[in-house]
Amino acid sequence: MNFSDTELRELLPLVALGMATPQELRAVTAALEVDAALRMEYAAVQRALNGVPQSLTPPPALKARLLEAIRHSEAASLEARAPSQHAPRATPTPPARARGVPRRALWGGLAAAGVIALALIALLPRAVSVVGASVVATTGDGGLIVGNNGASATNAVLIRPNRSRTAVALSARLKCSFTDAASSDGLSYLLDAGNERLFIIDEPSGRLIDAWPVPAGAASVAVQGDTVVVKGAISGTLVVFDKTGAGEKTMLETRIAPRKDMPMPEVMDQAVIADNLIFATHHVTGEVSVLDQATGRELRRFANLGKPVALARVGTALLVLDYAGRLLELDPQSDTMQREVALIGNPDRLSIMGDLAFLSDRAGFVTAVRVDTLEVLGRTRVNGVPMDISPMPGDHLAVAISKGGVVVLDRNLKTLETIN
Amino acid sequence: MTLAVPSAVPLVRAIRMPVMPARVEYTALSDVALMSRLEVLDEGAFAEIYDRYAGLLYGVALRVCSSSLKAEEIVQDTMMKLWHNPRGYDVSRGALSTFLLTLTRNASIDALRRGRNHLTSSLTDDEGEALPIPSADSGPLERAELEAVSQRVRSALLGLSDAHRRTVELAYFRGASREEIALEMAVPVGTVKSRLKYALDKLRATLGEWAGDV
Repeated sequence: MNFSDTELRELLPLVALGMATPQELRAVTAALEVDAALRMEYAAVQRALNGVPQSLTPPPALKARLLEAIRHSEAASLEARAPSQHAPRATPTPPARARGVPRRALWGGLAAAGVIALALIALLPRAVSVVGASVVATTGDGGLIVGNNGASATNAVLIRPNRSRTAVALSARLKCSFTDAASSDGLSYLLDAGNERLFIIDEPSGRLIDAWPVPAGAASVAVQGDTVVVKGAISGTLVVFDKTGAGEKTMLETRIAPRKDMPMPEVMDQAVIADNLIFATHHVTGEVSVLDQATGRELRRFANLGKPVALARVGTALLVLDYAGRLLELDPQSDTMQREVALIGNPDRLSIMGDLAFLSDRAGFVTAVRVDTLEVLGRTRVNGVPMDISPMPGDHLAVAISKGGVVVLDRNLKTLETIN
Repeated sequence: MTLAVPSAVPLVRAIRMPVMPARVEYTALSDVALMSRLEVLDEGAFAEIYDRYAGLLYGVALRVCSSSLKAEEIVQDTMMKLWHNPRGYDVSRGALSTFLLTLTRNASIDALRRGRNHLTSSLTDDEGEALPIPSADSGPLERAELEAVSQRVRSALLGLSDAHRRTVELAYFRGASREEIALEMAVPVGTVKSRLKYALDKLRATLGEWAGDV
């Protein structure tokens, strides 16, 4: 049944009050998705209804009881993970387990001490293995930050240049589904589409210092100075976080395409920051958007690019990777496509290292392409499923392998090392 | 390849939120910032959210259930739900106050309805969370503003006719369906719908005039 505009407006109070029939609710929900004026009207109805109940002071004991309850639940959940960081970097607090340990008897204390000791032993560098790697980025000290999908105490591991490891406690509530990683100014960024969070890790200490909410299907993170950009493949939006000093940041979200649900393996897109511009792929619509970094305003967009899932700025040109197996070179100055090269397979990651572009394909291949000519120089098979690539110092390339750690290749695609 | 220049770019939201502060002044943080801190299990942020909204939640639960014990239980359950699943709240879909009030009111009405069958849809889904109904009102509502809105709305409620006020109260605090209200007030179902629309329009208009004054 179709509802007229007037009927939809009459239904708003009923929906807000939970009195609508399922059919009416569906109609209003669908209309709200597309009608901004109706959304404003609905918000006004909600706002008026919020004022209906009178605020009353709850019994003082309720707050104390609640805080005690969350401490207990927190201590229980720590059984399965390393001690977490609850407070910002400058004001660390002890793990909740310490608060939750009963002090009733000596044996209880000894048992608690034993548990803590076991937890600490588990965190010793030698004990941390990189079983799988879903995303990888090179850190400021030349090491790596690795994100591993799933739920474990070692979802995030910092690998130091001497190959010692530090497990990072993420306090993730759901299974992690990492889609991208980045590093800048001593901070590592792990993008988790499963928890819809961008985890920010202090590289020297290996501590989680913040977790920012990100849009649905967060597929890519780019960092430059105080600006952090996240592309949402499902949400069809691009979020620009800007640290403004004084402990604050602004968060600007721009819609560049309609929302579209998709399974997690299809959450692929990339955003890069260059020359005060943000370039972002949206593979669902086959477009690349160009946005102003300061305002988040979309300036223009390139269309009919197949399924663009990755891009890179090389000089004044823009390299765009089409998942269908094409590497395109666009010239944003003249708005033209300069060149195009066909690729074997379906590479989904693109990374630039000097004069070479590296592409990885989940079918098990890494390809090297000359940036100036787009000539394919070589292709190698790696053992496992390559999920992500990152250039390393010394012209090396880190390849994150699902369930296989990190493989380090040289610029000739020769395997130098496997870190697992 | 073609080039398109977008004629209008809708900015979905632009908000300010805290980032890595050296010392956390929770009272100065927005609701969004507090919610993001719940992700890292920040107890201080949780306590601040409680201070902001517990009175309102307790007020609605007590009015619906008429039992201080039950009201306490419902507020505690709502707040624990927030602690365990902060991502259940989506900032783009409404203010935190709306989200919490919806959870509390639904839980209170469910407690009231227990044992009875209702034909109307509930605002809770299977997991007991609010349905994803988007709202343009994504900004945090400060406590003082919320209290001012509440005062304004309640005085506007008193200005309504008995029939209109009773209709709103039956719907809001009892969770009564259109049919139930129609039966109780001995009017056609269509009248219930139009009375609710009229009453809400009046309440909204009051808030609109007030916002214009500020």
